[in-house]
Formats: sequence, C-alpha cells, structure tokens
Amino acid sequence: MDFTQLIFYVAAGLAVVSSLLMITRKNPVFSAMFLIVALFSIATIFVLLGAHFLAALQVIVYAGAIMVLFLFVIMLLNLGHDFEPDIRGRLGWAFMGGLGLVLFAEILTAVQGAPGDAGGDVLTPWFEAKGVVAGVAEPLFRDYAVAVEITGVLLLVAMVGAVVIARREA
Amino acid sequence: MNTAMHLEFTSQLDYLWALMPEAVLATGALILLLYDGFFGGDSSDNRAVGWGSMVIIALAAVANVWLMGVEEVGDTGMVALDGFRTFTNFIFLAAGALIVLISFDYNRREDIKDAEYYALLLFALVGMMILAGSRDLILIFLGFELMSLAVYVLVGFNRKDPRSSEASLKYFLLGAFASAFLLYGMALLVGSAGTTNIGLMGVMLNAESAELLTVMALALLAIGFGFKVSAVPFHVWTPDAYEGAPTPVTAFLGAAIKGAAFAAFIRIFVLGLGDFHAQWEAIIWWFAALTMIVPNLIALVQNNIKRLLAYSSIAHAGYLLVALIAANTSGMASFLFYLIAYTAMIVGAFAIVLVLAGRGDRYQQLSDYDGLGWSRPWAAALLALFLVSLAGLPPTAGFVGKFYILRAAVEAGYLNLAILLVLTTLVSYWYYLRVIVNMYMKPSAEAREGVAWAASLRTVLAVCAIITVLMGIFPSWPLLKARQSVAGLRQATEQVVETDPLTRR
Repeated sequence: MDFTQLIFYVAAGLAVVSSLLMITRKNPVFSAMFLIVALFSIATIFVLLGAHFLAALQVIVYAGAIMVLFLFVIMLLNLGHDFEPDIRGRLGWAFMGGLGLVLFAEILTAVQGAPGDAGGDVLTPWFEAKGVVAGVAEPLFRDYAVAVEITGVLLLVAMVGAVVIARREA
Repeated sequence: MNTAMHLEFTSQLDYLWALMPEAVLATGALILLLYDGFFGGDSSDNRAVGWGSMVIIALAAVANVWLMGVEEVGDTGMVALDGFRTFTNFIFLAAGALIVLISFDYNRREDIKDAEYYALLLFALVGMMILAGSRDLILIFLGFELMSLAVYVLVGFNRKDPRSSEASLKYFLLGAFASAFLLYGMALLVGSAGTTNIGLMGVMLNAESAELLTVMALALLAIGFGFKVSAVPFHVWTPDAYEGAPTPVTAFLGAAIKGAAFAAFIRIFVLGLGDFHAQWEAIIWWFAALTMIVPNLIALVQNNIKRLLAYSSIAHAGYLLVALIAANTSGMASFLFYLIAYTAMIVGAFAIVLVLAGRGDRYQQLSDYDGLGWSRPWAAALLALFLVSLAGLPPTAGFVGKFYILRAAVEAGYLNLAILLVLTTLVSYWYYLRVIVNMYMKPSAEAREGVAWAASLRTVLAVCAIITVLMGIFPSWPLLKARQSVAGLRQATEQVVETDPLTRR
C-alpha cells in the first residue's frame, strides 16, 4: 500500500464516518460541522484524482460559502439546540433503518457486480491535456451549457418561491 | 419557411433554437416579475399579469409550431426535436392556458396576490417541457426539479388557508424524497452506461446480459417517477396535496404535471431503454395493477369532492401505466390521446368544483352537491359530462381513450392488465355516478349565495366540454396526429455514437 492509497483510505473513511455522524446528531450545529469534515474529505479525494480545481471549488463553495449560510440560518431561526427526532417509535426507526440498509446493500452488490475498473484512470490524462481549470470549464460551458442555463432558471425559481413563502401578508 | 431548418447541435446557438418555446416562456415569466415589481402596486387585482401570461403562452405555442418544421440531425441531441416533444408541448401549453383562465376568478375571490403566481406557473411549464422533451438525464433532472420547485410553492400559495401550507409541506417533503430516488437511479444508470444521453444508453448497454447495476437503476428510476405520477404505493401525498392546494393548482397537478412526468417516464423507459423491457416490465406491471385497484376502492368511501377527484386521478395514472408497459406505438399514441382527453375533463371538473366551492372553499363535500341538477342545471350537466368521461362511458373522450389503451395492452399481450382495467373501471362507475345521483336525485340542501360565472371561466368550461364530446364522437383525427407524432420514434441510434460529449474525448 503506497502513500496515495493510505491517504485515500483515511479520507474515504473520514468521509463515511463524518457523514454518518452528520445525519445522527441531534444538534444541527454539530451536523453542520460534521458536514464540513465530510466535504473536506471528499475534496482530498478529488485532489488524489488529479482534480485540484474541483477540490478548491469544493472547499470554497461548499465548505466555505454554503456552510456559512447553513450556520446563519441555524442562528437566525434559533435552531441551535437538540431536536426531537421526527421519526417516532421503534417501528419507524426499524423501517427507516431497514430502508437505508437495503439501499446500502443494493449499491454494495451493484458495485461488486460491476466490471471492476472499466475505464481506467480517465481523469488524469484529461486534466493533463486540458489543464485543471479548462478540464472543468470546457464540459460545463461547452457541452452542458444548456444545463447551466437551466440551473440558473431553477435557482431563480427557488428564490422567487422563497420570497413568496416568506412574505408577510399585508 | 421554404426549407426545413436543420439543427446539428454543434454550436450552442442550436440549443437556443431547439429550446425556443421554453426560452419564450422563461423570458416572459421574467418580464412579468419585473413588470409587477415596477408597476404592480398593492392592488390584488393583477389581471394585467394574467393576460400577459396568456400572451406569453400563445407566443410559446407559436414557437412550438415553428419547431415542428425544424429537423434534427441524428437522434441523440440533448434536446429532442421529435413529434412526441412538440405534441406534449402543445398539451402542456393548452393546460397552462386553461389553468391561467380559471385562476383569474379564484385568485380574486380568495384575495391571492398573484403576480408571482402566474410567473411560477410559467416556470413550471418550462420545467415540464424540458422534462418531457430532453434526451439527457441531466436536463431531465433539472426539468423535474424546476417543475417541482415551482409547483411546491404554487400548492402553498394560499397563505390564509392552513390546509394549503400543510399540503405544500407534505408535497415538498415527499417530492424531495422522490427526487433523491430519481437521482440515485440516474447515478447508477450513468455508472453502468457511461453516458447521460438516453439515446446512446440503448446502444451502450446490452440488454441480453443486463448487469445488476442497470436493473437497480431502473427500479430506482421507476420509484422516483412513481412518486411524481402518484403510482401506488407512492401515492400517499396525492389526496392531501390535491385537497389543500388552491383549486386551479389542483387541476394543474392532476393534468399537466402528471402528463410531463409520464412523458419523461416513457422517454426513458420506452424510447431509451426499450430493450430492457423484460427487466422493467415486472415492477411496472405491479405498479399498474396496484394503481388501478387501490385508489378505485378508496374512492368509494370519499365524501370530499376534491379528494374523490384526487383518487380518480391516481386511478388514471394506473391506466396510463398500462399504456406505458405496452411499450408499442399504439401504447404511446393512446397515451398522447388520453393525455388530451384527461386534461380536458379534469380541468373542466375542477373548474366547476372551484366555482361551486364558494368563497373560502367552503362547499366541497359531496352533500353540498345535493339537488344541484335542479338549482344549477348548467353546472350540474357539465360536471356530469366530465364525470361520465372520467368514468369512461361512451360517447365521451374518456371512453375512446380507455378503449385505445385497452387495444394497445392487448396488442402487446397484456391480457391480464386489460381485464383488470375493465374491472376497475366498472368499480369506478359507482363513485362517479354517486356524485351524479346526488345532483339529480336528492333534494336541494340549502339556499346558497349566488356564484359568479365569469367569461373566462365559461370559456374554459366550453372548451373542455367541446373537447370531451368531440374527441368522443370523432376520435380519428387526434388519434391520427398522435400516431404520426410517435411514428418511427424507436429507431436504432447506432450511427451517432461518436457525437456524445462524454464519449467524444
């Protein structure tokens, strides 16, 4: 096991553990903190794949901007205390946990059934040919420019919707 | 135009042409929002915005007519340019126009500030058209979310009514759940196919040796779409959302949104992954069977007219699933035919429910319809017509639509589903006829304040009634158009494997 693999296993393990902790904490501030850890670990994995720019974006946008927003909302709505879980009763927990386990088992068997390393290392040559920024920008703004435009409309609709819902009745 | 325009999707401008109706709608919605911001003022009477949105829908329809003359090169562009897309676009635009027209009075009566209402309605239409007209999983998901987000807000638009907020929250939570399933399924599908393009997936994946991954992806996708089309057992949100939403939005939910989700469902499962019929057939079969049986039984004991129509709409999703599982040209043509008929009858029925409910939506119980046939003969007659059509009795559009679905199912060899369709339809007569019996055979309940039948509402009722009757008596022309628009859709896509952005590098 070389150094890269060691880093990968540490980062991947950290991502899994912190994601689990994030969804099981009762205090939303703790959940937000564990989300940061998970996002950082995934950024590390991006670096290992040769996608430095994506890793930087991940840290700046998600671990930075989005997290600040989360914490602001938690603070403004005064949510920084323990919650009663929405899932009531043992039966509910059993059902939800069972559903999660089924989905987990599904992806596990599916990945095992898949042909191992189909494409080989696709990303590294791609980024070496294009550069780390163009490697992200080119598909985004050339092949999937329509998707970017539609995402813009989607975000606008979300904003208009939020304004409509939050508006005080005159 | 003399020569047909060809789009190769080599430059980004081609996408603007290909998405012209959507672009017109989105731009128009932005203009409406700006207009309201600058000139809207505080008055709750925003009919200028309403008429503005009618004009925008008309312009989008013109763009869609123009789009019918445009041809694409190959059939793996991210945006489809086929008859199926233009046909469904027309249905969505027509449904949108009808909903805008019945919203005028409702919003004034319930005192809803409605500039954003019309803008969100237009954005929801954009989402539907993208959802139904895309060949790329990314665009399909974006369209799905665009439509859903706009509609979550529309369902909760009546802020004075706690039922509306409750409906919105329920719909939002379960809808987000559905989106997660859909996205999970799409991720697995991309993982097994190596492309996000539906047209290429059929080529990249080998149906004979289907991997477990692909089959799971199909199951998860079916669950995600099952939520949106309210297939049993993912229907639990439907009655609550339908009951709580403002009535025009309920009609929109029942007609257009279900249609859009079904169109994308068909595009992925029948057009893209039709070779995998043997794999997805089992899960869709159970969906279809349960979705026909369960709601038709629950509807028997409903006393609220909106909930009754909600269960009726779930049952209709079951009939449309039969058209989907048939997966042949007849199936798709009968889906399109049924979609027109269903839109006309459900919008018409909800328009009458809307007016009769009175201020604050007070009269929604079945007992409120006692003796209506004598106190309001026109409303009762029209409601009876729409209910008869929903029940599928001749000579209405609903009968012909069900007949074509039956024929498609028998052609494809699904005799058991066809029999189930007939049996459940027979059961459903009971609850549709119960309303009609209430209207004509029971003494009038109490004297009520008069209700206003505005000109816009009369127009909607007339249009819906005419479509319902004409398509029942002369069904051949719309069916011919539907058949033409789906003809040749399932052609091989081998020649253009290299043009996919992800496989190109």
